[in-house]
Amino acid sequence: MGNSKDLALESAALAKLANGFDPTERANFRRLGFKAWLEDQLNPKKPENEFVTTAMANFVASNLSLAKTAKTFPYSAKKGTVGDEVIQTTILRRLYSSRQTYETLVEFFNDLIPVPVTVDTISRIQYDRDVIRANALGHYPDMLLASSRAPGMLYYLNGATNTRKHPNENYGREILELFTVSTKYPYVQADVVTAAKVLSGIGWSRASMSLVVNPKNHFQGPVSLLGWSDPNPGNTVGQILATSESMIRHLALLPATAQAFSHRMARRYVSDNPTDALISAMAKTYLATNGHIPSVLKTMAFSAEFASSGGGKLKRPSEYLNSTVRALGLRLSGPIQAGDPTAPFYFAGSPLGAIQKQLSVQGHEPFRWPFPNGYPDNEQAWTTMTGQVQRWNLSASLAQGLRGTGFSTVDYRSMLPATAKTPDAITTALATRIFGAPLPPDDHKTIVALVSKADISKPGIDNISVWASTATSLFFARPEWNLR
Amino acid sequence: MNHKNCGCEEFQELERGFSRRGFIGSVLAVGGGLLLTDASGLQYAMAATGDTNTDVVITISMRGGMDGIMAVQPLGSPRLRTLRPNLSFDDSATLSLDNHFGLHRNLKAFKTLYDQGELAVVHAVGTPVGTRSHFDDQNSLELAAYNNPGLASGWQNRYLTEVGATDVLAGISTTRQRPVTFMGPASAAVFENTQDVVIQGLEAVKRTDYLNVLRDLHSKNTHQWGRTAAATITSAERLAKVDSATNVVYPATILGNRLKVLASLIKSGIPVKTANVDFGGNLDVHSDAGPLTGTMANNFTDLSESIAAFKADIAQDWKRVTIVTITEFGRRLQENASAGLDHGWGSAMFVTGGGVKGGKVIANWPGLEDANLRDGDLAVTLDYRHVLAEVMRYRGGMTSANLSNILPDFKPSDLGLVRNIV
Repeated sequence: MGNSKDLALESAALAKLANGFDPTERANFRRLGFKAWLEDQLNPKKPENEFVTTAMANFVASNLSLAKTAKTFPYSAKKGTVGDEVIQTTILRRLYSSRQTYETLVEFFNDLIPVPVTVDTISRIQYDRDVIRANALGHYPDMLLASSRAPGMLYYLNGATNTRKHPNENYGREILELFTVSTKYPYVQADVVTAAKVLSGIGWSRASMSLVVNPKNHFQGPVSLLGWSDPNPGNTVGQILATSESMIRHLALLPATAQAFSHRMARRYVSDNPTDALISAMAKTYLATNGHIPSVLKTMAFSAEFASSGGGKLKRPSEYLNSTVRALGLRLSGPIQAGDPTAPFYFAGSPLGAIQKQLSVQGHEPFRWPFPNGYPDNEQAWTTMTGQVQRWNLSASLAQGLRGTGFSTVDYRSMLPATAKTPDAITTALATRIFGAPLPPDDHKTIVALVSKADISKPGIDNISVWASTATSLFFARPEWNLR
Repeated sequence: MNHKNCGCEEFQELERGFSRRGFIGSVLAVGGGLLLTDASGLQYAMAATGDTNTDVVITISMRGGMDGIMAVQPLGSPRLRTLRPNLSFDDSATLSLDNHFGLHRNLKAFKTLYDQGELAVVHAVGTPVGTRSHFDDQNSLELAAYNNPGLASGWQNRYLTEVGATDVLAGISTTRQRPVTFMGPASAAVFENTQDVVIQGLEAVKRTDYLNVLRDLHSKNTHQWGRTAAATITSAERLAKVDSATNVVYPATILGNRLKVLASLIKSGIPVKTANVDFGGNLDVHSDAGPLTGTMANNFTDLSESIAAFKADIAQDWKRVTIVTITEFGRRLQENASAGLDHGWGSAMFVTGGGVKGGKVIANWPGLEDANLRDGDLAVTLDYRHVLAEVMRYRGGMTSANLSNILPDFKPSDLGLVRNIV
């Protein structure tokens, strides 16, 4: 890693294919090189680190089947408990997982085929684990099929009440518009109804916590849409499931789906306006691999467009928080309470609760977007007064080690060489340590001027830490840090 | 609806000849029996765009697709009762407005405003192109430029430009993400609570020094993030002085809170020209719509009581406020098997404020017979942009030239909704 092109690629890759760099990940990247690093990240067998593994063991419902969860107090009685758990484990893994690219994919798919946490909350862990996480390194058609049969999605888009007599179009519409071909494909209302008919009678039983297929509620007879047709006898559970699977796989592998999927993915990782050439290259891989997610991601990641895209896309609030915390090497401020989910402050007392709240204020708490199109993913949507002020405040809080952030304080002394004793030297040393290089001269000068004005007159004050925290507060307030 | 009862048989004829672009010349106010002229015959107000002579134009965005028929039910329609056994009401269970339409009973506060002449209903209204897609219809609703695919700004953003707003706080969206309607070159502030935009400062340095450095660090950045930072800092410092206390009790809902925040800005003299307030409730009722006690019933209580509280809170400022509710589409006429309503097209809008010529329902009512419907939906016989245009013209002082920049390729008609502010 010598030249500026390599550094640009490193910084783009760690900002886009991970939740930002931390010292460990940067070392991994430099040791392996981009290709091998990404292959390692996408290895389904890549082990999780000990911290996350141990922390995850504290969460009870995450380690139970849905049926078991529903029978276990307090999940059986307190609706929000599973919701808080899936949100907090998501935050935890985005921040600290060794499988960073995987976590970014999990986020991507939770926006692509989303189920809000408020819908059938008890099953939200199941959706995240058995639909999204189980398939994020696999094939999109498999994930889409699993999603169509998950209780969360069945309740969210009304598949659970979609019947032969009155097809409920909600899911039928969104599977075309949002999950497969998109409105660029000229499908018509009749196609929406057909999709609903094919899926009619496939519902969910809360009593047995399992899929129920009722031939009485299934529309029977020939069906066709978008180049697919099926006699759809629909007399047996097996026939109904086979027909619906056939339709979903057909839709998921249409060229228009490959385009729409690739566009969404490129917009997420590369820029708000990816080129048609990149989208087409990704779509080609998608079709050649039957929607193999890591393959499409690699086509994107190894493109010239990706390599030169660093600094062009605004981080969403969660990415800002994650990347800042990782760059500073912060840990959680305290332990995640272990074991007993019936304890009154099982979640409220956890440092993850404070982080959850911070994301909520910024409008980016995991799984809270109420609509099936996922959180917005463009610069204008997130350039808000709240966003700017909250990020400046967060930067200041983390750098100064204020209470209530959910994170540990920075030990500046350990980050600085003993020779760094002036505002100028401290600013240079810290920037080099954190970002790998000093700041641009103008910004450096501006920040040093402010640091030099810091009040260090209080008796016993540690002037080195005051200078360092003042400088660091501004490092992460810079507009460039908000871009990736 | 029984057309004999409403005296609008002629619109059976109109409906047969209905085409998306052909209806503008025949707008009828059912309530007042008032036939309006088309755009070419209008004399438009030419109010100056001075600061004091414009209203705060507020949109309440009913995202998710508000069912206009449940909100404002056509009376005397056995067909409606047949198609919606669970999701329509006996006429006597609605708050009759004019013997043709009845408000949902939970819109009691709207009935009061209507009776006071400060609320008008516009019905069978909507977007010119209904796709039944939330996202396409919402997007085009907010862009409001149907023949201009290259135009990447929202209509409220263009309104800010035309009204000559220079203050970031002239445009307010009480949301956590910037809505499309405020995307574009004009600045507008996006925040849900004033406490979310308090800059905390640093412990060891003076606040003014810190804020100046923040400005400096952003001054050369060409992204929207960098370009808007200085205005954000200035505005945040002003908002820190806004007194958010009020004696008025708002509903404890998302909308109630958002309107309370907006009221505090208006009362503090922040020169708001236009605001977008997202309703925040669930309107996408594909199942269990809850007409009497559930989801929709609560939505109507929330909507009307939040606005009533807002009116009480801003007191004398009510005379310079116009509120318009707006939704991407209405719902299917026939209820589905889940006692819900699928996506539709035509819906209703409420227009209320101190300058509203209320107490009437304005509709070119298309009827509910099969032949009247568009693919099972209440037809749109009035483009929502007529409503916006009239409010902007008479309450925002917009000239025809201004309006053609805000709503390109659109010829607005006068509906008699609002008084001229001048």
